[in-house]
Amino acid sequence: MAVGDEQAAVSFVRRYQRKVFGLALSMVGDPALAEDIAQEAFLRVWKHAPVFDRRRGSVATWALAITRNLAVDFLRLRRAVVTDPTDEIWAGLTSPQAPDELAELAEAKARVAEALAAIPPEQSRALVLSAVLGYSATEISKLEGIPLGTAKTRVRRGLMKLREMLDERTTTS
Amino acid sequence: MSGPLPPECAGVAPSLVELALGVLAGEERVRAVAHVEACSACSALVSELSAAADELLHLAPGVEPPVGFEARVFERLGVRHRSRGPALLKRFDPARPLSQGGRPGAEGAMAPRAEGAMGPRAEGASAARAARAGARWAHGIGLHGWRPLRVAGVLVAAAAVFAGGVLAGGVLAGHQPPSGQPSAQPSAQVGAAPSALETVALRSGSEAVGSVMVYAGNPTWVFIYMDNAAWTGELRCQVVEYQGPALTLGEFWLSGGRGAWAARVAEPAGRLKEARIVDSRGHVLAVAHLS
Repeated sequence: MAVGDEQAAVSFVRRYQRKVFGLALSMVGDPALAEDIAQEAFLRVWKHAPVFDRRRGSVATWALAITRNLAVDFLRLRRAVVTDPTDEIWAGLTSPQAPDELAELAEAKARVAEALAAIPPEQSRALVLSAVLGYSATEISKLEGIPLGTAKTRVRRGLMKLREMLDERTTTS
Repeated sequence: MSGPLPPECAGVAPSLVELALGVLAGEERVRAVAHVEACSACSALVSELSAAADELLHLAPGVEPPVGFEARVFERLGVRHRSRGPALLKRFDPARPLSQGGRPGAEGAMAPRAEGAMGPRAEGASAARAARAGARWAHGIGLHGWRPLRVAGVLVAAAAVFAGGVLAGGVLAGHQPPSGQPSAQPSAQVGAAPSALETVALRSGSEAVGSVMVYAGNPTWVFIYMDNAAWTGELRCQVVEYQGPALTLGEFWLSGGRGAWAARVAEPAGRLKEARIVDSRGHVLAVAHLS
């Protein structure tokens, strides 16, 4: 690895490690496992950095998506029993960012939180369960005590609505 | 934005949202992926939905990773790096309870601040130099490439800064005070408490692997640096009281045999018999016998 690459890697890890680890921890709930996932996420980010397409989103979003996918893979193997996310996890997802959070991340969170607030609560909850915490429609159905079709509809409508909201904001900004 | 899906996509359309969210599994996933790879309209829709879903990931809170996380990532990436003091040290925020093995009264703490936030501010030119050196250390100068004497000087300087400028000048050149002696020159700080900084070799068997410095102030501080150890990984620092138990102050990361760490201890320095480094299984790796 070249010196310049090393410096970039060091900067990147230091910049996003709190966010990447925080997402992994929110999803799997176990610090040791979250660390394994976060480490692997950084390895994959670095491995695939040459093919990252900036037009498809920010590098932070990309790194978080890789983290989420890794955690989902794990959860798919291990989550035998569907449990309700703890109040702590929900609070973490809905509370303001810590004061030292990077400005770019705080802005991204504010933007998506605003869009999410415009979606009916049952849809936004289903959407967060699926998109952030990795629950399948079947799992949401069991968790919420609703028919599978209803769970799928909530997630689908929620995501369609979110996409519209984010598109509108992109267009008007 | 992509338009309505062609009629032939109706069969797979209900799965596209879950595919975009990354939670579709089994045969449904196989069918959906196969279709999307061959269908530009569905591929465009999934990309747009994925992008929107990914934005939701920003809702996740930032959480400080475990001590040593950064070093372990760099190691796996094959990156040479300088460790950051604060990344290790800020884990031991005095406002937070100790993690496993610790107990109330033996708190870990943040790196010393050159600004005197936790002690009287050092004054005078030599104290200012000490402050600058301490600040550099506190802001993350790693040990790689540092000669032991220089590292000792910086750590002692940090201790001096923390003690409110009780130590000055000479420590920057690596002139450590005689063991067990009041190291202080008169402090420029009126009202600063008398203090002493004891420096003791940290040994693994007969081999010196670093040093432990104990600042006998209020509170007591223990500074550790290691530059000649044969280990890499997460280690635990303990102090042992005379006729008392071993107190775990916290964990720190040693990379390539080098690392530095500091913690404050509620017990008076005079009650501490030894400081030691143990591994995750509790094996004692190195000991410093305090006077």
